[in-house]
Amino acid sequence: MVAIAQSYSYSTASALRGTVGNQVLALACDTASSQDPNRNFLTARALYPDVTARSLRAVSEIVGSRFYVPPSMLARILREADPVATVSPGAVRFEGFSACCSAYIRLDLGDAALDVSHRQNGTTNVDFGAELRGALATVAKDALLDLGIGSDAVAVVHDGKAIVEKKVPLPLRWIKGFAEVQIIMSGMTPAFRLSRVAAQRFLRTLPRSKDDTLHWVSVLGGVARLSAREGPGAVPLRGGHRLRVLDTVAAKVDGLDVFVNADTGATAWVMDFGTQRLTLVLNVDPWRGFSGDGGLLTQLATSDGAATAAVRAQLNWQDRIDVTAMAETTGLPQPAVRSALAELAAIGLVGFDLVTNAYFHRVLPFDLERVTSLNPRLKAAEKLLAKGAVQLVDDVADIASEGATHRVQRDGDAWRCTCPWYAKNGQQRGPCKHVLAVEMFLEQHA
Amino acid sequence: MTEADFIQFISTNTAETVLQHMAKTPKADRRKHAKAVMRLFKATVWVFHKEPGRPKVADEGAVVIAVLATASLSELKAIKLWRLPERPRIDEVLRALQPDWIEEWVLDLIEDNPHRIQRVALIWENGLCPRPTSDAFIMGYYARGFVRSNDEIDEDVFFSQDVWRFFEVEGGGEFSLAACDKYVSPTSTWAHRLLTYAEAGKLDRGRLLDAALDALDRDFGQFVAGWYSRFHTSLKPTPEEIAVRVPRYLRLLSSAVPPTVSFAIKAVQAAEKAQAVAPAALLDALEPTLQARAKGTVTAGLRLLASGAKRDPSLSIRAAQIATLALVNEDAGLQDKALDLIEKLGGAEDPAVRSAVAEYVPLAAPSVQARMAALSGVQRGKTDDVMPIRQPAEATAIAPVADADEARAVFLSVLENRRDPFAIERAMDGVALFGAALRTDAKALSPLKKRARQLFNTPNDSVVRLAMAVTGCDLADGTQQHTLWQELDKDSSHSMLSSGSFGRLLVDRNAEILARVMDGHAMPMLSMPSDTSGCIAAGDLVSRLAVYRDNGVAPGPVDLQLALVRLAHGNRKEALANLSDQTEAERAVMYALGADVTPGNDPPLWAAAWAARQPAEADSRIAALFKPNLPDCGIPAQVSLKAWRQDSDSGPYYWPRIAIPVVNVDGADTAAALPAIFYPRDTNYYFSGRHCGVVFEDVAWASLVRPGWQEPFFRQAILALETDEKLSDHYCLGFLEPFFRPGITVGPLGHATLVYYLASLDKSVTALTSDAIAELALIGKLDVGSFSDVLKQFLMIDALPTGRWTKGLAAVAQAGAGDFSRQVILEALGFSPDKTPRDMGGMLELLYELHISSNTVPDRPETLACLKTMPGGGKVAKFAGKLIKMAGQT
Repeated sequence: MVAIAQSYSYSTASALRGTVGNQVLALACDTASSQDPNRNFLTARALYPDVTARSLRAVSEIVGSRFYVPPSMLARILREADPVATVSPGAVRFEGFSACCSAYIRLDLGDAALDVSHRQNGTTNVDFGAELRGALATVAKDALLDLGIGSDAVAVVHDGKAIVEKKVPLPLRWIKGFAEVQIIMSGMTPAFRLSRVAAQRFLRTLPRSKDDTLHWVSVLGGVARLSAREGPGAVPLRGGHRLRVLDTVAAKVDGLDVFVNADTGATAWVMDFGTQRLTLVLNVDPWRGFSGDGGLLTQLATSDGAATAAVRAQLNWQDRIDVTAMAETTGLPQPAVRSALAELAAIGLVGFDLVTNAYFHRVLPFDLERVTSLNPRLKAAEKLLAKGAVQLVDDVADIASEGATHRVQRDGDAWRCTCPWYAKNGQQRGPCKHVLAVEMFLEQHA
Repeated sequence: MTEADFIQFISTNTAETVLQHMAKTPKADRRKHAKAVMRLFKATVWVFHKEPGRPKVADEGAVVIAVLATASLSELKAIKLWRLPERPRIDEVLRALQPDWIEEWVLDLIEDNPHRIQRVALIWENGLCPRPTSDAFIMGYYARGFVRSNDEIDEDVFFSQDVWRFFEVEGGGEFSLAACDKYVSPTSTWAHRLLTYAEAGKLDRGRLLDAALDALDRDFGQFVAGWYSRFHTSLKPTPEEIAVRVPRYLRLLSSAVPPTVSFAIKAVQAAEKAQAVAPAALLDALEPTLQARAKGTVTAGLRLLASGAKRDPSLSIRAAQIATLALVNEDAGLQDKALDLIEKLGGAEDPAVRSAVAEYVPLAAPSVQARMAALSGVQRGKTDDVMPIRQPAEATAIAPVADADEARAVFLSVLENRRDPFAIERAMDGVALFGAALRTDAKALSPLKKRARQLFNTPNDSVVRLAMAVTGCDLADGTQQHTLWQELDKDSSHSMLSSGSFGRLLVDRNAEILARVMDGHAMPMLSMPSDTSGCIAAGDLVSRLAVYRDNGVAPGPVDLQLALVRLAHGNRKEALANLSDQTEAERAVMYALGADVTPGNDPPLWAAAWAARQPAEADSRIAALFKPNLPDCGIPAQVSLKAWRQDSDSGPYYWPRIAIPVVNVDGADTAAALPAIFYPRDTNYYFSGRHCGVVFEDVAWASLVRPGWQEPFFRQAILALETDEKLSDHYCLGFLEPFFRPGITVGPLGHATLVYYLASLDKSVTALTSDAIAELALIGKLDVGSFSDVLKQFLMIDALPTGRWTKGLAAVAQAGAGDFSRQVILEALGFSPDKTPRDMGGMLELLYELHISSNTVPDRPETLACLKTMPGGGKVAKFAGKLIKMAGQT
């Protein structure tokens, strides 16, 4: 397992302090990834404290979950990463990824969910221990809950405890998945919406224990039901126990919106609370991380660096990046802007919001530019190219690779290959290394 | 000392001598030999299975001491040194060597395995490092019961510090209080020890009560949290102790751990009894309990709500509002109770409460829906939505492979994914048509060659995978199949390819096709299904045969037999008109199509032809070809389903047993003729029911062998299922494939399969079965009588919980086939029971709800007679009474 050792350093542990009716949720920032350790990101009062507290708990629970343990791996050696918080002009977001990389969760707190007295744009890791998670379950709806991210908040609750330091080996696939999931979300379309009661009922039908059976969820008369076979409008759900985290907030929801990416089978379950949204994105299989989906490999292989740089220069903590306006500002055609935004998502600079159907700016506190260059399929394709393995004649390429000659041919807008990867996945999980090599070859000889 | 000398010294001396030498050697000099020492350590001490020829050492303890003397901390962490020196002891070794990493190394050793705590304790007991306080140290306590080398506890530190950490450290795996107490005698548990200390006054009882509640606040996992709630309960808190902790119990009602909520609600009930809870606080805290999955928790929550409102009537409407949350529960009884309370509290007059109730009307149980709608003032939400029928009414033609490129792509695709039997057949048809062309381009075939060989070299349980890999090897490099099989014969695990198996059928058919390909022929595969029903249109078979005749090539025997048993029922006369009788193969096809032809001397061919005839009537001429007679080879096999309950000799255990013997034919030689392949001799082996395979793809391919008459296949389906078996990809799902194909005729064993599969414990099997039942019922392909007869048979033997069928039939109803579920239960209730099957109450409740939902009443006399005589109280009596009352026969 290739991993990057992520060092978190907090001046103290995050905590929920105060009396039952008057609480302060002080979230300590990771000073190791922050340029300014004394930075204060947010001071605000939660206007719907019970919903916000339980949603934050859900974020933390997903980050601390592993829905699939490879047989050769000991669960006890896995440490949990911390959620990432982003403060921007119109929203505060908390996002995280399960340790198995198959579930991504994000809480979007809109302005109507918080009474903000101080905000400073930025992104940081926030400390989230099990004790805090337990405390968040008990926040009542009429409680006063002050939320602070950064040095000021920590000062409020600092009780002289030693600095909290955690060194967590984050697998490359975990970090890559963080970025890849944004691309997958951008390819999603709405499937259906359930009312509060229907959502609660549906979540109650899901197994509490691990269930890797593939179900299809469809809606009949406003009621969601599980079926063993695909039907019109049904969305796939394997590992339904991953949705259990939504159970605790379902009673407070206005509606549950479900989105699906038809190409990959990934689904998004958006709990709409009116003023805030909790989005849980599940990859189609619990044992499959988002990192291997390769939705962006072609773009990375044939990247137009200038367009990406132009769009990147325009990023300024926008909550909703308007592609039309961005195209006008940069002078790029809209497809080029979209393509550039997808590339920026891959390096952690933008996230995707399903409800607004638009990207937003944030900076993940990981070195994703280096990670992207380490993509195994890209590296393998580069190696093939360097070896001169690609022989292209009239849109048909033969690629000599490890004892076989694979043939890559045009198939409509895409390519098809004779390798096992293509035979197994088709175009569902991005191009194979042979197709990538051909695309790079064409780019070089254009 | 050179490195060789150094290693020689370690290898030939005792631990004491080595330690004395190391202690005298400067650290830097010792460090120079670290790599060599580590190599020696790994070759001698570290290996679990010590191989002959490994280096020999006089004293392994000497090597361990040498490692401690030379390795860096990171190197020690990497090897997780599980063997510590015993003579001299580890503390003596470390004192002599004086490394600077002792404290961190100790922490790492305990972190790696808390069981080590006793042996490592010597290090801090002798002042070589501080006493650890880490979580792993506490987990060592859990596992070992002490943290001293002399099997004792440090009482002062234990009572003042360590024991309170027990309530902070969750642990994990085997290292938690819950796990450790589970496997020891009651008097050796930590819970018992702590209670004893508390009774002896060594531990403060109040602090223990609080600490347990602190632990329950900490979001521990359900299993671990259970220890703390049980411990708190075992302290038997007095009413006064409960009263002072009421806010804490109320807070725990929000816990994400259901048993913690159950624990807390019991404490709150006790406090409420003593009127120690403020009604307003009680009401606010009860919300989560009303939405719990456990019925007991919801019922308790409703009672507390009523009690709180009674004590403070000004809170009645607020309580009614909260009570609406319980309506989310699926159980009609709970919904009724919630409505009772709402009405009692005056909620029916409050617009906000009525509005809250209205949200639940569309999802209410049918028996409660009218009441709920009336209370809320909305129309009763009845939906006529039914699950869309996904089974196509008509079969669609399967497009043959168009060219060599596609043939290669399709074959490569089935090498990776073989779950679709049609894709396998299409791939083989592609080989038959374009294999010869493909073989002219070795470069283009190289990926197939490489992949097929990889799969062949790594066989698994799938026979289809192996068969296709062998075919791929053969196609790509002309390896003779018998050569490949010789390689495999060395491995006895491939007995599923034995003569008379489905795997062998596929392999032999493929070999015939490849033999033609090697001869340079490009002709269609005779057994290629024409459409998605899996059958071959009569006209297609006749025209394919014509190609063979025109090329002067004899059809492959297995290919032809398979084609015959796949022959479709329609258009036979027209096809017959285009067929000549020049060869025995053509005469057999003529016989299959209905012509009066005298059978020849090829028994398997004529048995297949007989199996294709419609209707299936005995033909003594065909039967006479086999000695002894074989089922479905000239004589239609007659079977009977027998189910009984097997009771264990060694305890109160029982399970269902099933046999489906052929009652009119004795022979069972599956290799003698294709139609007999479904009737292996009953060997009474555990796996005798797994004749079609043990992975999905094998079973799915077997489902396509005789698509027009699936009863023999369903016989295997019933014999194969172990109802209590749960698998991640259950191979029995393959037995349900035919139910989703167009043109399926469901016979008695088809019905029996659906009934039996509905009782599987594997959710994927029951979900697919209920889907199949709903779809087939909605298109009128199921017979209520046949279905209920089998269901009744299973209910009567009482070997499986009735609740499994209740759940399954409820799922069928949810999918829109409620009428079918209702009629099935009605007809199944046609017996004079001496004893009511287990969980029958649930099924009666479902019947009651289905009647209300469909606005019908039970009017079948046999059912009503059964209900009137059905013994049992509780739910059985309640719903039997309701149904009788509904029928107007009180």
